[in-house]
Amino acid sequence: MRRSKNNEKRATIAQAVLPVRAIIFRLSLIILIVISLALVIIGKIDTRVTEKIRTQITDTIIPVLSGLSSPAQAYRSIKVAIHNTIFVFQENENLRQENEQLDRLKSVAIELESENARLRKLLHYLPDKNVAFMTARVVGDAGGPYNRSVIINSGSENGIKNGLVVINSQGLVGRIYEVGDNSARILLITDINSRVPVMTEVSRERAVLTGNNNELPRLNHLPSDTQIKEGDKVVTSGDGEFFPAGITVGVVHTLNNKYVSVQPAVDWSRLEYITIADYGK
Amino acid sequence: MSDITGVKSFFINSGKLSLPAFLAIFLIIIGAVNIHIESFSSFVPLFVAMSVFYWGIYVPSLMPKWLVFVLGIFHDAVYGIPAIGLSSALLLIMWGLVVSQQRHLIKEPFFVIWVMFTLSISIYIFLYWLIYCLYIGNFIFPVSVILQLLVSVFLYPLIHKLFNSVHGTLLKDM
Repeated sequence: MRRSKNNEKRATIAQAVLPVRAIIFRLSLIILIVISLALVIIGKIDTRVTEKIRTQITDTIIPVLSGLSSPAQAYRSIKVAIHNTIFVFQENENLRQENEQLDRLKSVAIELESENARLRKLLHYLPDKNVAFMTARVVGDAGGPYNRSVIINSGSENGIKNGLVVINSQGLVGRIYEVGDNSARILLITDINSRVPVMTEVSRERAVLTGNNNELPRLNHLPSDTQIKEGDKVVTSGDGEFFPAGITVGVVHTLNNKYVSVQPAVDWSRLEYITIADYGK
Repeated sequence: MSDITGVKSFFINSGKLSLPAFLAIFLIIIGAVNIHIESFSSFVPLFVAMSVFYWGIYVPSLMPKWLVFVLGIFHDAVYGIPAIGLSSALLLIMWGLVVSQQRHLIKEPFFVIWVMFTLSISIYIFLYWLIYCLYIGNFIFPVSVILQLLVSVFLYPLIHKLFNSVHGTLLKDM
């Protein structure tokens, strides 16, 4: 009798608690959604908070990313080795021709260097600071449709700082925009937030290379009477002192009434080792 | 002796219970690995949404809302999204809808689940794209967003199968 009364009591309590539990369930879900949206807003107001979260998480996963990217890197190395073995004779002939060309250019360069030194002496020219170079491996290609960035396995412990210029043997890659202890993120020149002051190498027409999250960033702020042509080489202009002048960016790809797009010199699928240049600015 | 067995089973059970979380984290990291394929990262499938959707239907107790929140933050951090928290908010909405319909969805055949996933992920990706464009004040050409949607939809059966085998073997008693 007593037991059945107790059971009845429990059932009544459980029935009374059920709507409360449902309310708590919904409320906690709403609270979490509100916290998430608050983080989005905080990130817009003060980027340091969200940057800190990102760099901490990236630092934590960097050993896993490095480990997982190794097989892909090994596969690529094998592919390159096989390709090189097959085309070794052709490659040898190309290199011989290139060597002859470089020999000719070397004598010209020596002459120009001495002339340059004489002219600098005449103008009392103050030389640029020494450039420090660091090499790092690209371990993460984490962008998604919303940004174009890569993760490298070096961070502040290796001397990497925010804003440093990133290049490879082909040309300008981007710049460092987030630094952790042992990882950093590079904003590629194709990212929607990337702006690089550039000029055409021959006609010296200045413009701003604006990323648009696709493979072909565009040239903005070109002069109205532009003489630019498809295939013109585009290099950094050095304006704004963020990027030093003369780094290869790419070539003019499409030229029409609406826009001018540039094919970057860097082959993004082969982005493996990059050089970080510290110009001491 | 029984104490040792108890501790052992505690660790085994804890490992099993955290398996969906670790699987989701692993898949997020896999999507960020540099595999030297041009533009691959721009349409990498949304593994995090697949994880939340699957476990939300089949074992919601292993995908609680706080875990969905953490996975969303982790996803945004790994992919360098400036609007950190946006994935969490949208994943939580998706999770809430899936869990509220869980009793009906669990009985449905795979094809219906796939259609429901396609519908959910389409809304998720569209809202993400829209809010993100407003957030940065710039228009993102939606080609890679659509590609990401297609890759996610077509890859879902494979991930569903993977989760099914984990569920059927390691978590059969859950």
